Amino acid sequence: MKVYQITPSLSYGDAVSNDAMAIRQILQEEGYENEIYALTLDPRLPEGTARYLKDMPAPQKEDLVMYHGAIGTGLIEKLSEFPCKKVMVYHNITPPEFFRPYSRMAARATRIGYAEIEEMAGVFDRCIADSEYNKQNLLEMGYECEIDVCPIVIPFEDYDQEPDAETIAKYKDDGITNLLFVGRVAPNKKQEDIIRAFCVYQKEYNPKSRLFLVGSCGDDLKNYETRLKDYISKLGLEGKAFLTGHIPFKTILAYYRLADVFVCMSEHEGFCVPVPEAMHFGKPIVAYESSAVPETMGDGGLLVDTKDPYVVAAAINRVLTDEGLKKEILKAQQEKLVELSYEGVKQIFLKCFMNICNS
Amino acid sequence: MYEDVLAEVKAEGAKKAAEHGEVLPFSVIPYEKEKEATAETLFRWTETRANDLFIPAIYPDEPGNPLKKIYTKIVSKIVRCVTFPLTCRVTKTNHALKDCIDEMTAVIEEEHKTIKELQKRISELEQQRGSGE
Repeated sequence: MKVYQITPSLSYGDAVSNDAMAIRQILQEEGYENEIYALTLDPRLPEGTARYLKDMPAPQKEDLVMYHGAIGTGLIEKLSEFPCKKVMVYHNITPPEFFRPYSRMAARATRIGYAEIEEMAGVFDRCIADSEYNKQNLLEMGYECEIDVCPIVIPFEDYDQEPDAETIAKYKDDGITNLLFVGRVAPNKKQEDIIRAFCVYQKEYNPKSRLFLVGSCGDDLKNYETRLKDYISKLGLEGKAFLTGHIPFKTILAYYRLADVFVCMSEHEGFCVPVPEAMHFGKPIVAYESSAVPETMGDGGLLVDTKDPYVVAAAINRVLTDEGLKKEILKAQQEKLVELSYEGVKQIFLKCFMNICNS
Repeated sequence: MYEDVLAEVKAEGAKKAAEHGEVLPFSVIPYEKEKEATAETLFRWTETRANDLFIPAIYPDEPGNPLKKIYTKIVSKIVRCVTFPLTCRVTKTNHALKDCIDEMTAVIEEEHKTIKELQKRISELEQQRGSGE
């Protein structure tokens, strides 16, 4: 049996891509012949990591196709024609209503993506969802096949590299409390709610504080990014709240190391990789209770069910000043990280894989 | 697990909100809806398409031919005076239609959501009725 993984694109730093590459590694370790095929490939990827989908040979009946569902690809017909078992690894698609005010194109792309996933309900023999939330999403779309839940494989060893020394030197030990969020600048991530809460935190609790919003912005959402910058300006937070834009991985590592607390107000996440990343760096978390965030975070942070900036600011202050609470949170994070470790997720994935092979 | 802590921060937050009032909401910050193509970009696009269609048909591989240069200028003039204004009008109508379709799609999606929720509720009530009998 050969395993063919199909993903819309394979690039660096992308959660879906990392997951596909980690699955490839797991299957190789277990002795399964497997390859990744993608519509687009990042030219920086090492030779042999993946191939273009147009070069994929026709799978035989005894093979397995694993399709990563994350955006629309127009591959329904092609997938339906494969004679072998087909499994979808579902990562979720951001609902179009988040993009509608800013980008007609982005809203249309996600709407088409959703419609495609819905239409593919009868194509797959089985599905693997990154989270219970994603599993429920598939059930609501009419999926009747067996759906297993398996977290995204996160390459934690990559985060132990040396961080960018310049960034560390610039901000380290300056007596300023650093708040951090890592994630694409996109309307579903709700960076504006973090800015608003930071405004209250800065004024009511700790004037010696700073907010780093780490993440790049797509060309089609520049109006959203501009709006965030205007908001920072109107709230008088210039020089205190920063949108870093696209930065190298080592610089992201530096911001994680500098952070005192990780804050997430996202309203739609299929898994939320930055939350376990923050846990890996031992940072307490304050997050808004939405989508897959509660199940990914577990007790590794304070989960707030409101966007009230005063409540969020009070929660941020609490995790930073209540040593007993912080200790409890960090302990819970360590337990959660065992679950989300490479070995932990590998065992879950292999169980799902055996279910697929035996079905 | 942290219910007590959450209750305390909520109370603390409510107290501070009452003392200090609302923080400027994000909704008051204006923003630009996505830019339509500028007239210049659209003209260049139309000109390129016209050149790709009409120049090779008459002068396939003749770089430096003076007649080809004159013909190219004529095509450009026709694009500027006739094709481009038509393109603008079609583009405007196209965008208006797309906006309309997007709006209607949003409404339909909302209706779908409501229908699904109602169906779920009906299912729950029927189950309750069934277990009650």
